[in-house]
Amino acid sequence: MTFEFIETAYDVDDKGHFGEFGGAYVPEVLRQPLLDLEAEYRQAQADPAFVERVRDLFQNFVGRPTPFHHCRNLSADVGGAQIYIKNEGLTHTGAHKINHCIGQAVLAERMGKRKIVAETGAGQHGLATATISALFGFECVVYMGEVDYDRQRPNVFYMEQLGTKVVPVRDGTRRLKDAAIAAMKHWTTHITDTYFLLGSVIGPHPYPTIIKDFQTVVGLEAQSQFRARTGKDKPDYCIACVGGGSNALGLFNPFLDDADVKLVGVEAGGRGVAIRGDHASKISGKATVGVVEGYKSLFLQNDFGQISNTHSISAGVDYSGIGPQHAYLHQKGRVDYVAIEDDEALAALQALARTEGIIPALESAHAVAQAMKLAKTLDKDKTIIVNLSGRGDKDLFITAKKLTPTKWDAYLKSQIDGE
Amino acid sequence: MTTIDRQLERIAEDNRIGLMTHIVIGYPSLDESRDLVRTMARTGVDFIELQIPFTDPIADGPTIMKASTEALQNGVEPQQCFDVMRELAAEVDIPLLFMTYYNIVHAMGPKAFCEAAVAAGAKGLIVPDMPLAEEEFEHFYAASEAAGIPIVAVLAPENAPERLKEISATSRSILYLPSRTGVTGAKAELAKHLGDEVAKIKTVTNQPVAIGFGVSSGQHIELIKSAGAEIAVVGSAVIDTLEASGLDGVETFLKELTGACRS
Repeated sequence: MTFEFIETAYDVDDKGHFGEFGGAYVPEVLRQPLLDLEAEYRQAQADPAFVERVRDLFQNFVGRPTPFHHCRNLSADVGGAQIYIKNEGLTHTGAHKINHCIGQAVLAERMGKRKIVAETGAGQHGLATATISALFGFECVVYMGEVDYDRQRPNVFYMEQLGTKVVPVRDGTRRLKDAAIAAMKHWTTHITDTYFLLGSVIGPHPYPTIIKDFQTVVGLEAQSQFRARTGKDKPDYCIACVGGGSNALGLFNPFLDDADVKLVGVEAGGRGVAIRGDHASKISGKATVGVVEGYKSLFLQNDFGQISNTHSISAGVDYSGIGPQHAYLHQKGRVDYVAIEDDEALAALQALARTEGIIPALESAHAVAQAMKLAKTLDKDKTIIVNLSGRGDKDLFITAKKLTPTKWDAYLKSQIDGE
Repeated sequence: MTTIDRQLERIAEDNRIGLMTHIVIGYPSLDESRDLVRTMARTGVDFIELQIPFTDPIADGPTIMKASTEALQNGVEPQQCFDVMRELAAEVDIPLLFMTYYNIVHAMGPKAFCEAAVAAGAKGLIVPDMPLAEEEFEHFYAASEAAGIPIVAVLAPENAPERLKEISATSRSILYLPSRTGVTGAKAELAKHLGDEVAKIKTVTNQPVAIGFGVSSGQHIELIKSAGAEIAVVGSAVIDTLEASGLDGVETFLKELTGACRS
């Protein structure tokens, strides 16, 4: 089992910052709980029983290690570099989010917390949170922006079946950032008995580090699987989609100190990055430094500091901010960030489905699209690892309507009329 | 002596506690928010927080969040808020304070923000998500000191005495104690532990204490008074009253509250 805590030159400093980014910009009432969380987390990291419990759950509940697949057909079709997929879609619950949920659940249990509050965008973090809450016997509330609540109904249904209360958030833009704020407020109001189980490498310190640490299992496994499969020491490129950025940091983290491995984060280009509100790409979309949701990073905002609306076909990457470590990695030039548009992601989903028999989540389809673009420009002996953060089941109601509109509408109508 | 200190002296001379109220600039409209401030000043309110609306407020409860969202939908941006402050500060003779979130300050730059706030006539600043721990990166407290505008520090219930010392040393103004953990919003019952909390604060500092969050009636004000605090803060309850019974209703409600402060 590969899970372990690692250190890199790009880790948080002792004041909770990644260069100018990060920090804990929170009201006084949250200061002590965050200090307590950090202290407890540092102790847990040094406790072999804690690490062993996480390892056991990773292996026997999540289904780790996840497969590492050489996309021979796709690589041949595209022409150029060899594309490998780290398939987090084959975890229990179908996405990488389960990794940091397991880690935080064990931490919450260690802290004596029996209630969980979480936010979710696409629903995968919510589903994973609901799942571990059922497993650990936690009482769980998940906040979800109303727009996401409506477009990710299958996950809402499953969360409810797992015993979680799902609350649609009607504030602001009714998306992930509003769900995150609602969850943080809930935590503030129930601070003594509730663990705030954050779902990406965002939020106040120490959350970005905690989430990254548990996601690092993805990169560690990919690293050893790549070596075993290819006989080479390291890949030429690692590519992953970035909303808040948890799956990307999970893949990138073990490679950060090796400058030979090029790292590419793929943001949601939506309908194009030229117009604010049409996309969720912080780097290509010229986001500026701000302080929102308790942390300092790059945010899509106007000149006065008001956070902008975003758009993506995929709820999981439809987010106005980016994890503070990503902002730092961008500033340091360690990771390249690019934007992939909705249509390109849909085309990549179809390409991967037809050539490899794998239907990716729409978020991950952004990374696949970038890998296909890049592979064409490289020699056949070059290698690319793509993190498939999740599988595409949850997106059925979006992708089917987009790709087969007439058939899908007829099917939905038949379900309503016929039953 | 700051304008806030002078107002506190007047309150002490009257042997009563002070009342601080809150509006969101631009809610329900710019004109109506101006009228609210005038009504508040006329009914004997001692301090008024003018909130610059922000898209992502992490400490606002549902009532104020909704008001902020509507103000933003009305197109209100910080520049207009400075204009409203300038106009009203020249008109009313009680201290007006700006309340907002740090991203609004950060976007403008702490120095420029503090200087503009002073130029507009604001007498204090409340920015709940700008903690002391980040000051070395932000220089916000330093900017406010240089501009000569005090920061009202927001405490947490159950802060340890050492922490209270640390915060009060930086604030040099009113200390704002939330009556409970959580977000703003009117509640029927106030916590009973307020007296102990205020006594603890008074062991480390003589700075005046304002208690807010959930304050919505004359009885609550009685409780805050008996707890030993100098100021009661009413926010969401004013907006709730405005929505239920208009500006006249707010006037009646505020008279009840100012009466309770003086009783």
